[in-house]
Amino acid sequence: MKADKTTDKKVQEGAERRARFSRFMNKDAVVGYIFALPFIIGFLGLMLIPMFMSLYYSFTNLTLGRIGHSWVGFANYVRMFNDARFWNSMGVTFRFVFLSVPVRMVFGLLVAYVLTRKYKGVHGYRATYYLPTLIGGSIAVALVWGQLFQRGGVVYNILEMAGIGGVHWFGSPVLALVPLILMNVWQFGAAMIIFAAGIKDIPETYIEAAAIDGANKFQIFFKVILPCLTPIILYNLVMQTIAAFMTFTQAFIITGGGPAEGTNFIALYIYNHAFSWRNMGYASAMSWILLIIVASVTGVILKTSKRWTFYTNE
Amino acid sequence: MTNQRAVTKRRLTIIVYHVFVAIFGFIMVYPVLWMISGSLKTNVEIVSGALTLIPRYWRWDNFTTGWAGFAGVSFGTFFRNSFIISSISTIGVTLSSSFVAYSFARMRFKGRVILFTIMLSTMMIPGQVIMIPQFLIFHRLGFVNTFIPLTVPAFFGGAFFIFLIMQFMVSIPKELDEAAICDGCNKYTVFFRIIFPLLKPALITTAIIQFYWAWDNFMGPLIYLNSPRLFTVSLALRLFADTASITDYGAMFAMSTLSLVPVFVMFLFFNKHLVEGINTSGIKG
Amino acid sequence: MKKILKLLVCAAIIAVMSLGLSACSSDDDDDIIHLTIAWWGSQHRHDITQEVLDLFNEQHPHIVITGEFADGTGYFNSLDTRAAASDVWDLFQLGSNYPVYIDHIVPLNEFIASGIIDISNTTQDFIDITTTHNGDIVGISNGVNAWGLAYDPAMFDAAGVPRPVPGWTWADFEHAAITIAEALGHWGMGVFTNDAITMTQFMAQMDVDFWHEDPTQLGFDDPSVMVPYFRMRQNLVMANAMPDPGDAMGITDIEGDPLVFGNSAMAYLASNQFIALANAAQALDSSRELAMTVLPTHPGGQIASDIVSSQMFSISRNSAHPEAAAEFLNFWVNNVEANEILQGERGIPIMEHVRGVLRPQATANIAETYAFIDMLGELGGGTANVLGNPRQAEVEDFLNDNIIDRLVLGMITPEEAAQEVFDFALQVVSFN
Repeated sequence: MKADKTTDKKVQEGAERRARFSRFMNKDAVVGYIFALPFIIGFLGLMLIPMFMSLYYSFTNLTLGRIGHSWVGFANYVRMFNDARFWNSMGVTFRFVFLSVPVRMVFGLLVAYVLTRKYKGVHGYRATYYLPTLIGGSIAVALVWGQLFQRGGVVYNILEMAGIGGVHWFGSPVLALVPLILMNVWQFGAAMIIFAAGIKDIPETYIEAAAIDGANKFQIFFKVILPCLTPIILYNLVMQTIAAFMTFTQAFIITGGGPAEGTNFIALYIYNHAFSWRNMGYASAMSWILLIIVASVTGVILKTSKRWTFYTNE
Repeated sequence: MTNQRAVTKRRLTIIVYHVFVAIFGFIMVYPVLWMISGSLKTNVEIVSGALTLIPRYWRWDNFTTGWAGFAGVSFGTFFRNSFIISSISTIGVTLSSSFVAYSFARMRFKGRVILFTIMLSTMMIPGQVIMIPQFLIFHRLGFVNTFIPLTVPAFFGGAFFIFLIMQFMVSIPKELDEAAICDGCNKYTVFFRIIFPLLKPALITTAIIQFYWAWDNFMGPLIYLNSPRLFTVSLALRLFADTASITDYGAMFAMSTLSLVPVFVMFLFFNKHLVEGINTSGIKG
Repeated sequence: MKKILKLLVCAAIIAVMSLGLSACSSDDDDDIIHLTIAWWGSQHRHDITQEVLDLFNEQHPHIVITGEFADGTGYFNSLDTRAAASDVWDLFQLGSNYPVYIDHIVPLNEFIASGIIDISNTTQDFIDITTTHNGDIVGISNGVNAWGLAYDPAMFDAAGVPRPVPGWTWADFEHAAITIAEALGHWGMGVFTNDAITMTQFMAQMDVDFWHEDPTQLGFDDPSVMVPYFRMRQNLVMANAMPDPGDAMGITDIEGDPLVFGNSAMAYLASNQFIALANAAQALDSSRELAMTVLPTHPGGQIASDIVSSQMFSISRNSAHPEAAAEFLNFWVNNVEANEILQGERGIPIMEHVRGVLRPQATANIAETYAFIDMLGELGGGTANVLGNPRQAEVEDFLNDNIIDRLVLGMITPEEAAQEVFDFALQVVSFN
């Protein structure tokens, strides 16, 4: 009897403990942290710790393949300040970003708008226009692109037939940037899809109301659609700008940074220092400056955005 | 009469629209078509920069010579490597991102806002900053020249995808969760039985995008893989341009074309879902 | 739920598979020694090297060697990574930049003394040039070569320019290239694959070393010694006698050299590359006959270029089986059958008995390279252990991708180019 009671009690205790445990486990906080765990671990292990390491290395002369490294203070940052190649890379990268991102956005927006018409075949068109984006990041396309713009290549021949005369794109540091910008603009599909989704979400009533008020298509586009899309424009602008700052593959494959470093993007220059010349310390310092620059540019965009974005709800 | 004229005018607009959009579309895909036709052209014809999309001689050989690869390592190996890396990282990102999205979208807990803000800001960190120390970490752990650096990070979620799935999750009514809990579910089973299956469009979008990111990824394999036997397709394609032998453009274009097939096929199958899965309402705040 | 489980299981299986792939070869049998070897080079080199590895395994069943290959850049990236982790391949290929990796190399002296590696069929000269570092033998040369010019005699004749003869000067060279360009509408000269090397030679002919034995110094202190080279370089491109940077970009390898396609009359190369170049040219047009000649010099300067080791295999310090690696090295340089497969693709073998067998077998193009090296010997070319610097790659990149481009595009003068290179190199070596 006594024994039974104790087991009963034990069972009861066990059940209670289990219930308490399950109540604990079902708390929002516990569930939340458990499900967020992958992100938390990933953030610490793959982002935060590496970033601190990188900050530390930027003050050392860490060289891949050489054992040991020593603290050099601000030497890497001083070197950067005097490094003409670094400034050139920054210049090239800024030129690329400021020329390619706006053009790409305008294309994405216009094409998205044009393809919202409810005509037959619009779906097919959208897929066609998205195709370059789908495959554009591929090395395959970069290899083809170089071939198209090479002297005697397809683009060269077209211009010659048009009577403009062949343009030797890769023969000049200024012109060489053009094929790379065009390649970036060509891939406006991602922006287009997000704009298309945004246009789809604009309530029909807005447009109808404007039409009743006698607005023509241009007015509708500029007065109704564009303001409604400003939050999406902001989102696209920020993401595309950051991505453009990171451009690497095109230059690495097509031009190798040349001629005369006219396409030596900062990402490529950092890569070369880190992995070709093994200057990990210097490369870390440059990547931190890049981070600060990208953060500032993003900050400026976000700051000014308050003046030109409109939020429909609330 | 006026009615008739209006109809003709409308028709004309439609025709002009189609002509214009189709021509521009053709220009857009021309480089791709040129590459595909190049895969059947001779080297001489490719280098001559001919505009034509129809090869003068059909050289199917390009595919066999290209497929043979380099020093006994064929494109079969490269494709297998790309498939392994892309599939694992796709599975990893899709699962982990949906977990995290569930936490951020459905749970209310201390620190959620901070974590969410951190997540959004990680989207804005240039890859270059962490590339070097990440490399050094994997290097110290002895994981360079394995697939680990290219796959395992995917299991910790991707900010972009977490955000995307969250936006979608918002559109799933909360009443569903509550009803399920009344039926005896707990918050874990709610996710697995109710939410996860309903996320399908968003998960498909995530999977497509991640798959082709991983498939096209060049810098990662470039930094982490050294042995040709472990090369992905994108690294192998560069070998065409690099190894000291006559650049065989025909073979290079043939393999380039093949390399795009998996991404392209997937796109055809899931084209519709791609737009469905993107919900912009959240961006508007 | 079930679907998710299935997915997870699939993921796990694939993950295990991929780990298995990357895992090192497992030792099933304790008696079998596993070695790794790595090299850079062309497709052809990959194929024949693999053949030799197979042959070695046939004759030495207890040693299995796995080969890894890459293009030049990829190879050194990979080597650097491994060096940092002290996980270098047992045998690895090195060129004149071997001092960078000196800490990772096992000297061969002890294996030579114990007779594992037999060097009785070569001369001390050959051992010295290749590969002696502070009295230690760090490798056995895979073959010797020398820098020179390949040219198309028919194009010289067509343009009415005298064919090059030993002792011709850089002025003759410049004149010939420009005349050919004007007469035939082709480039007179293709590309200097690496202007840093060419310029180093140009300076060496004036008895000036670019690099210094002390890695924190340069071998010269007056930038103006570089000016004549830069002036010539600028003239050549501006006269359309050499490709501009955009056209040069498309020329990535020796078999893609414009000389192969008849678009230029000369190509700059190492003598072992002549075989690939001439074969490629004749594959397109069997009537083409190409020849090799010495580099131009300065009036009264040294006529013949130095004979150098093209490259070697070294044994790494972290190798668990250095004796087995040495055994392979011996096979690699001394075995006749193996060298019949290789046919001197990496340079002319330094072993007398190997040369004795290969020479009679040589095709016309290979024979041309033997004749070239012989000629250098007769002209009294020295043998050189070329100086290098750990920061060489960075300086070379600056010179090739920045200075030369800006120079030939007319953005800077030769004098400015010289000053910039000097300042840059001086700064960079100071980081050593």
